[in-house]
Amino acid sequence: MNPPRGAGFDLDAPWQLHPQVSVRPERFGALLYHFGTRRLSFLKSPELFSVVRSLDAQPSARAACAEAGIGSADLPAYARALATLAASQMICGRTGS
Amino acid sequence: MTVTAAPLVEEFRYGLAAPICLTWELTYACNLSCVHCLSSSGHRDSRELSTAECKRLIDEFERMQVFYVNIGGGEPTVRPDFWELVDYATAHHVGVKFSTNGLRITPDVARKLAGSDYIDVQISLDGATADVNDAVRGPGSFDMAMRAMRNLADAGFAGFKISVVVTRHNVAQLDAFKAIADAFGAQLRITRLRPSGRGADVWDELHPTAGQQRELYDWLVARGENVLTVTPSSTSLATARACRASTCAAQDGWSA
Repeated sequence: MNPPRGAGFDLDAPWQLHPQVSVRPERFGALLYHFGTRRLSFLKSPELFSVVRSLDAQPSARAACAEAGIGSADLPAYARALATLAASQMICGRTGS
Repeated sequence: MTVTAAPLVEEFRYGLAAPICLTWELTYACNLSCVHCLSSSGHRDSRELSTAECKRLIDEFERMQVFYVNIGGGEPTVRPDFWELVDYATAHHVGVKFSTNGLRITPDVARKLAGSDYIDVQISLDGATADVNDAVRGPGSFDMAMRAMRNLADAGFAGFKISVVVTRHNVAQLDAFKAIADAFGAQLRITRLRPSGRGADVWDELHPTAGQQRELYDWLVARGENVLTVTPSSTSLATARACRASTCAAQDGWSA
């Protein structure tokens, strides 16, 4: 299974941390553990951690990136990282928003 | 990509804020007395932790944000407070994976376990037939394990683990072990015999021969795609396949 490209990630949709995922801050960013898939993910920067942490409260992933201070030039890289997290079910689409 | 500040491997020099998981030998009491037991289990250690002490430890794991504990023994389910401790841990956001010979996995217990996202179960089985298994694990232990697995499968517990210590006498049964795992919707886990505890006493009779190690290796390469293992060669193969740009599959989280 190849992770989808950033272009396949809907930055304008509402996203959330998967309810079965625990997050632990680390000096490099954060560690995620998914109790359903029993997989670990590494968030390799504090900025990416900020984006992931604000997904739940923001109307879209784009807004979460803005909240975390991500400039537009860096958005594609974050979209790719979020796409990888979505492919491994660490984050998922939020309904009812 | 700009998301990555520094190679993760550089950051790992500083370690993690806390362990990802911990191994916890909750009791050395056991209803069985396997000839190769690496902890020489059978009798309860009079110094084992009380229920209150166990809960205080779990509180500490929660504060540290340890993701889960691997509970073994001994047979952890012989502790009368075992389910209480499992409930306490999961209620405090500490996941539980436990190893059992199947003793207490009744249909009721299996349904309860299947209902939790935070519990994983590993059944020990050292032969794909009663004669091979029971020679190591004791009379009736094969039927007990099979009954437990049937209960888990009937309860809808998908993906529980079947843990096999490879010995000279079961290495020819790898396909049969895989068939048992597939039949129950379980995942096979292969581990090494350890020359520790009673395992040291039976090492000469049970450790796989060099030829059998090669047989095991060839089997893992050919059939081991969905088999968990702590064998160094296949572990690195699995790691290489599983790692992605910003995520990495957890390695086999079970302790030996």
